Amino acid sequence: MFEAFGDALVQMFQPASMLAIFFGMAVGVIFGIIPGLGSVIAMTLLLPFTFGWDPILAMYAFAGIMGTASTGGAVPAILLNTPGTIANVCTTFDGYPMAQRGEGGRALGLAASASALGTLFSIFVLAALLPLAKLMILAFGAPDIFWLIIVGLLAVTFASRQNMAKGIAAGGVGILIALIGFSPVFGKLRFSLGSEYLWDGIEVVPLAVGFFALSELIAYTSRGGTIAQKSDIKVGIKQLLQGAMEVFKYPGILLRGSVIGTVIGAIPGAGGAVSNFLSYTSAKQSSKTPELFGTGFAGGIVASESANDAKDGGILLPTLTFGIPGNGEMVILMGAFVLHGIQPGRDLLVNRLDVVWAIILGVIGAQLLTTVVILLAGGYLARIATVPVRYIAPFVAVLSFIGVYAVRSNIWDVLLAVAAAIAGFGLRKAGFPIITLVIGFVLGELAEKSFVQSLQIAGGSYSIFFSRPVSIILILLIVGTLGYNLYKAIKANVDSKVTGA
Amino acid sequence: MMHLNRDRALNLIVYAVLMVFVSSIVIGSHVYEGRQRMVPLVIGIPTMLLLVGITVVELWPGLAQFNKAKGGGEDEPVPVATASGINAGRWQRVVTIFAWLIGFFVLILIFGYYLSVPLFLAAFFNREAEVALRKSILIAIGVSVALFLLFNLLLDIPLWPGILPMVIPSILGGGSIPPLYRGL
Repeated sequence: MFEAFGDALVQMFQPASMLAIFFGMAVGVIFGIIPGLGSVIAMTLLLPFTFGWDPILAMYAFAGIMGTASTGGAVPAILLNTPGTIANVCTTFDGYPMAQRGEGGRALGLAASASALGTLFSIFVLAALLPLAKLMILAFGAPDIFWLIIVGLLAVTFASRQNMAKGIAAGGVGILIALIGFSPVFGKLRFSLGSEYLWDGIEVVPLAVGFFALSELIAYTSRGGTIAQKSDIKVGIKQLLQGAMEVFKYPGILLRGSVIGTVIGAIPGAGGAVSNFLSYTSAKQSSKTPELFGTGFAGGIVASESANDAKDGGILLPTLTFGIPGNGEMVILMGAFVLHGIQPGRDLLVNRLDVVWAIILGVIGAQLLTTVVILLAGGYLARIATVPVRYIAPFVAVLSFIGVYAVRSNIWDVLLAVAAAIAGFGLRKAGFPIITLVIGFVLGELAEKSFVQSLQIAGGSYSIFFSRPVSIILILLIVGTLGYNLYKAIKANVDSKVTGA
Repeated sequence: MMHLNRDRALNLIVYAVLMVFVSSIVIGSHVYEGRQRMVPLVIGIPTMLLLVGITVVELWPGLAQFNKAKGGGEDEPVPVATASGINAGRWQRVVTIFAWLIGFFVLILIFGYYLSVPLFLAAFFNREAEVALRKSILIAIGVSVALFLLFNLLLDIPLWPGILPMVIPSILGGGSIPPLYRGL
């Protein structure tokens, strides 16, 4: 395992690898800074263009985006009171008041430093847990994998805080879409309606580009206007360095934020926004001076930024070990795995450790680079957020249309992306969480494979799904989660009745 | 029953489309044998039931509340968590953006990327971003040249040349549309 780490470290310092990381970092920071875009759209747009790249270089580029978008999002959060990504919301509470006091540079330094340290913490935790995870996945059989997929889908559904029934239904629809076309499990065509286009099934790239990039484009272009307004921002280098060092005055907040980010990140669906709020409120509640939070307090920025970046290590854990993506970024990473013929889970941890280390080192490298970039040019970067969305939209459309076509040179893939964009917009408006649908789609084939394999192993008996210890634990988890959420819904109803009476 | 405003009408259309899709998979799975139809049924039937439930609740919102706390007639609009609250003006913008995307696809299908990208960019910048025509054209040409250099010369990825050159032979080579259906 650590031999592979040494090889990966050498590989990382190759010019092509450094270029890929730098490219990913630059894209991640820009998309992070522009409110409404973020890492998922950046990764979605990049996905098709990496087709034909060396898989390791592609992973460096993706890791570069993953590790930097939420750090980039801190820049407009502090200087313009507009969080670049949802994971930067709490950064505005103290960052913007600091900027208003003329301490924007100090706040940026704090954010950059806390982000880097949070990421490093979580990535080290991930690296330390990988050998353990490798042993753990060997204990997982086909029926356990099937239940794990259900757990993952339910976790994302509950975490998305949207209508529970719609979340589960969206996951189901996603799995059903994945069944269209040639089935490698049975070696037969299904649900292709005689269409030659559907022989290969629905491709992940047009679907992801349509659902994530284009449907988001429709949403923010229809809103119109400029999200962030100001552009006369001056940030001094002295303040930036002062802020970067000041983070060490808050070791408790930093450590708590990093731990919360890592743990919350590992829960599918939870991610940066939840860890951001949880870390901030926890730091405030445990503080001797809670009244300082929200007034431009340095500790508030440390709590927010350490947690939202520490999610990176945590969220990679279920994706790399079990192939269960916990958020949009991980769905696209799974898409990249598919595109480059990489199988997450056992195969990845046993045979493709070079890929695992490329992602880990890529995230670290990109995060460190971002810190330097923000320290050097934070004030100038904030101006990117003031670009009106109507200028960005046509470029997103052109990149999406070219990227989708470039993967298979099939013009109908572009039509599929447009259809997915329209469907995605409709689904969002009707309250269906798109992320659950896409995760269902990405996991659909694996769900069917593990289901059928289980039945084959058991000679057709369904008892195999309820007899293995791991399966029983997962079933209890499913029942417990469903029961708890149902209880909460009933309680809320009873409470509202009491309040109303 | 409830008021069928624009948001709710859209919700119902989405539910209907999803139900048609899921029921097609469930019913269609019967032509396959044994385990090939297992997962379509195991996932499809509960999904269908959920969608029916969601539709019923959308049509009769009162059913979602075990005991309605406050009064109000059946026709009283009940706020739905999923309702987007998009006003008519914004719906018009949404439809306009849809039209731009579909138009861009049709343009690409017919004329290919190299002609459609500058046309789309110039038109979008001029009409939607309200950039002066000359500036729009300059931006469009600049971006298109950059794309040509990047894809054709640097990455060696040939982009779709459009069907028009195929219809009018001996111009630019022409693109052959992959068949959607065999024989077409």
